[in-house]
Amino acid sequence: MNEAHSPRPKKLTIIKPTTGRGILATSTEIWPYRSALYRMLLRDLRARYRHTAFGFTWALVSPMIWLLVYSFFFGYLVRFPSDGWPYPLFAITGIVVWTFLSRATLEGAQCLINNTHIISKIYFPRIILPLNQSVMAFTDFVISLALLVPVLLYYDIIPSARVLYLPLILTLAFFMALGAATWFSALNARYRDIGLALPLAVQVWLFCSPVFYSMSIVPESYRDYYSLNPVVGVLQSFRWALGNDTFAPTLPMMLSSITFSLALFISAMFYFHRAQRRLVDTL
Amino acid sequence: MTNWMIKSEALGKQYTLHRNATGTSPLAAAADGIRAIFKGKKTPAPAKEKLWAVRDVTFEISEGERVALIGANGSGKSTLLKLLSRVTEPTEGQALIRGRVNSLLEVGTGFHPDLSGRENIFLNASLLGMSRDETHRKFDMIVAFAGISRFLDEAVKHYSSGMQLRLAFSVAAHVESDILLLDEVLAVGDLVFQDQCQNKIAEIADAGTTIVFVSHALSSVAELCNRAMIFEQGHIVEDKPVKQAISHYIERARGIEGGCRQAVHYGAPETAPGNHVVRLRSVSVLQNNKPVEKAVLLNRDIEIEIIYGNLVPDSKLRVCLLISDHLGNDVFITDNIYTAKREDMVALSPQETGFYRSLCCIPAGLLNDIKYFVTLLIYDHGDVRHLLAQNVVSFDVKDDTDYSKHLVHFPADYCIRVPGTVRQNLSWHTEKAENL
Repeated sequence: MNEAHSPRPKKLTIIKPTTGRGILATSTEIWPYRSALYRMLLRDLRARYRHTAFGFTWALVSPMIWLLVYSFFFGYLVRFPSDGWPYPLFAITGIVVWTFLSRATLEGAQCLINNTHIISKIYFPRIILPLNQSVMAFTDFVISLALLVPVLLYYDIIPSARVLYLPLILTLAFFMALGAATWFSALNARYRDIGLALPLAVQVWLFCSPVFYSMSIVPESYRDYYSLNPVVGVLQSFRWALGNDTFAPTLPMMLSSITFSLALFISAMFYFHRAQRRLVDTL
Repeated sequence: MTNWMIKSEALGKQYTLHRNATGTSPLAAAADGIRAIFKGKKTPAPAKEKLWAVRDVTFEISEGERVALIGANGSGKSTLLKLLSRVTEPTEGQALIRGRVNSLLEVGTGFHPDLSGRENIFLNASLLGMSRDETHRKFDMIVAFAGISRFLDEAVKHYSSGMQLRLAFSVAAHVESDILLLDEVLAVGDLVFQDQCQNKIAEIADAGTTIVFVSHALSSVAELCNRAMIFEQGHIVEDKPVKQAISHYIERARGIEGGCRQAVHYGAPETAPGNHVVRLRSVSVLQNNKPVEKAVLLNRDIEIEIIYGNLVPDSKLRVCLLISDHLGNDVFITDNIYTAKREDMVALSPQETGFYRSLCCIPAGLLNDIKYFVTLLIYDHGDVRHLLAQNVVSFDVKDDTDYSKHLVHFPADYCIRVPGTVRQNLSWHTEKAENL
């Protein structure tokens, strides 16, 4: 069992206080730990659905319930406009995207705190944790996309070739989620206030985004400002890719989303790099 | 030395002692400000207290060395291991590490309670940097060492704490690494497991892995390590071969650095050890009826004299001595009830009030030439302890035998010193065995 000592070049590690640079090192460190990331993902997915009767179908249950609730109250009773689509289809497209973004943010914010027992005992690139949380929320998102298929079929809507834009839109959403998860995980480790304030903020944000109502109810003079909400770009481009042209993504809308995602992601990397040095001491 | 594996240069770690969890953050300061506005008064800013858990720590550890870190609780040993394993980051200085580091900082590393033992092995191994292939290759060995094969597919939350521990140790012990950092791994687990751990660590060490080991179990430190660093308040105060370091550590801890306290006299009875039944007056180490000044000689009887006052009429007091060696091991216990030749009549009968003098004779040739510590206990016949004076006196035994006059020397294998906590000449008989 001691083939460990066959001659092989020994890696030199330098342990010293973090400086501003080294952020590149933080990112490149992920690769050697890819199997840890994979195992952690497996761990969380299994742990989540273990001892549940329906297993993975739970990823579908929550959007399905919201679909029923929204369709009954806002579609059937209040009769919100839905951009020319049947209301349930409009709602489900909003719900799956929103569920992904909000879950990545909320669960991401807890990921460092929930793994204190590992962080305080083993060294590994800490960025793996928010990354893992985002990938997990993304996995559930992809599973929940399956919900769209019966709804689209039911309403006889066949998406055009624009559906090929979906991967790009999903990538955009992923980086937004990853940026938020990374930021809030590090912030929450330091200020537990974040964990308490965030659910509230996420709920408020839901009302500021066209998830269960159409942009058409926003007064026209405010619509340009409204479109600056980066989530609007993700939601509307997602609907557009599935064939809804009513509020097709505009350039400012998409620029806002893309700029926001990139800025959030890059600043998150910087902040996380700085924050991880005192992580163990504050957790 | 050029073949160092760990090289620490003025490494330091500072902690801020918070009054509350967010004490020094700007956000907390802002929150305090807001609170102050509402209360209409200014709250004084909390004093930020800084603590250097480790400071100015400089050393080199070469390949294959087995180094123990010893010292009181909170002296910085564990913090140093956390720095070397990169779990936390230094505030100043730097450390260079050559090769792959594996660490076991307190057992129970990151198991997920809902996952099975098998899944946790893979997760834990991957976090420790073991590749998939390596884990597959070692899997059976890990399971066998932990002895959990029957429960492999049970959720870890159903394991006993001992089983979790075995599994965690087993995974960590099977990671191939150049440097192994261990913190108090032997402090937990049953006896069988402790032995198993110790053997495994020895095996890893024999294979050439450099080991840094934190433990309060001085006897296992002495057995496993060849070098020890003593920590005091975040600094390394001594860095020596292990046995020397341990005996110095014990001396430092007992405040008799570099020497012995062969006699102790208590002037004021109120401050002397004891209670309303008995008070200690003095304890001294004697040889040839004279107080010992330097060291006692190996080949003469040693006497320990205890003078105590009995404050209650008709109490039956029993005097015990516990002798321990320079590594903290108990050597023997003796008392004045079960004695060698005839009964100690005074000890057996009710005693009047007044001073008493008990003398215990340790026969020549029983002790080895090392340092011994004497702990005194006085009980009554109902087994109630009235007095405990831990390590009240100590003495060095010196071997002044001129071996050049002897026919035969000690074998060279005995090294510089004759090993052992005692050195008794026993009766032997050797004859030529016929008809075998």
